[in-house]
Amino acid sequence: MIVGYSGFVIIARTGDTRLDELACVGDLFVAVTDNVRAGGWRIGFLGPVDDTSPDDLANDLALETAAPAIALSVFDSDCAFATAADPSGGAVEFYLNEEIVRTLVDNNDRFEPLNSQAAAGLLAWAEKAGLVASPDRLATALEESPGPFGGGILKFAEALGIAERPG
Amino acid sequence: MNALLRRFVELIEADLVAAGFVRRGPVFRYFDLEGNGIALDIQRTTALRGQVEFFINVGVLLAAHLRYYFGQDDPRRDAMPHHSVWRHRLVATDDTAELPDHTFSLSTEADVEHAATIVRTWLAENLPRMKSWLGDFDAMLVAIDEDRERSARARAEQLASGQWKAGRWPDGTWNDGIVRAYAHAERGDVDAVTAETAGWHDSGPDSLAADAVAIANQRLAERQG
Repeated sequence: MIVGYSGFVIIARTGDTRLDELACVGDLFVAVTDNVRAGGWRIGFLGPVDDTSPDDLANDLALETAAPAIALSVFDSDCAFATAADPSGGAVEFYLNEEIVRTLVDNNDRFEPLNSQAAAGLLAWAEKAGLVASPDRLATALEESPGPFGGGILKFAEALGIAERPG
Repeated sequence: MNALLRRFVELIEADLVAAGFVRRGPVFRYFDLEGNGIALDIQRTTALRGQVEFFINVGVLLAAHLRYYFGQDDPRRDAMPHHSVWRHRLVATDDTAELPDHTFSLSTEADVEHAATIVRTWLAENLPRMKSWLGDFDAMLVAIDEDRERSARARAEQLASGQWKAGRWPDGTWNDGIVRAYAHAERGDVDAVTAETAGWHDSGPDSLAADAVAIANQRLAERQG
């Protein structure tokens, strides 16, 4: 049996500040390895986290960094429940791999489809963040799994315009 | 942080801080002046709602080996047990268990007390031993030999009985080749380092083997200069 990654992943613009130096991350008792991207963006894998949700953490990150931020709660590498927030209080909820989320929710009446509306919200989020997103790549990335090593999340970030750090 | 986990951390932190450790998130680190150290990591794992489950990983860190891994970055902030030359995952069960289990699970205050007692007892027994290895290659090499002999005895005893024998095996696993390579390197014994690392998988210019050879050459030049 292969066990995938379950835990939180965050995307935030912190410049030279490590993600674990943020107060809202320090409170979570996690060891974070930063994936440093261009433009001061960082992607951090936090592992299992208590007492927060993607909504709360994305909002906390956006308020503390004064920049748009994203928090994803990944389930077994297969899918993620996520929120993109901005410092003005705006928030976009979405999934990575909505089809898997749909199969995970036992009662189909309780499943709330998000991604058909979320793509436009994420493009607006990217604009607020000063990023140049690719609508086509974003649509593709939203359908992908996060993957055991977070490859789907890196593709999602790149679709939003968060590029690799120049060598 | 989950309240049970917070209480557990408070209980073990008292002992670890008294022993010179500094906590950063879920990792406690201790370093001597030369940069050798010990890291203890509370590694969370997925648990049912309302439960906290984790492993406790401990590693003994060699300064030269950390410099290879971290370069200009500061290992005092980021060194983990997996950067160690000796590492151990604590056993969460006692000697009466049929099989050992490494998963610490907290769902009640009693679980917290029990888990903290296991960890504090282990630390009291093992911290002096681990600290005695820091910066002392001879002490590490003696411990490697002792642990190898103890493992051989435990293996024979276990095979003869056909049952798991708690408490017979030495704690921890050595990266003995790395210890020997850096021990030779610090003595400036280039030939011994080359022989030790000859069979290593990676021998490229950025490899650990190349780093050990470079240190050996540097020490040799210092002695000859």
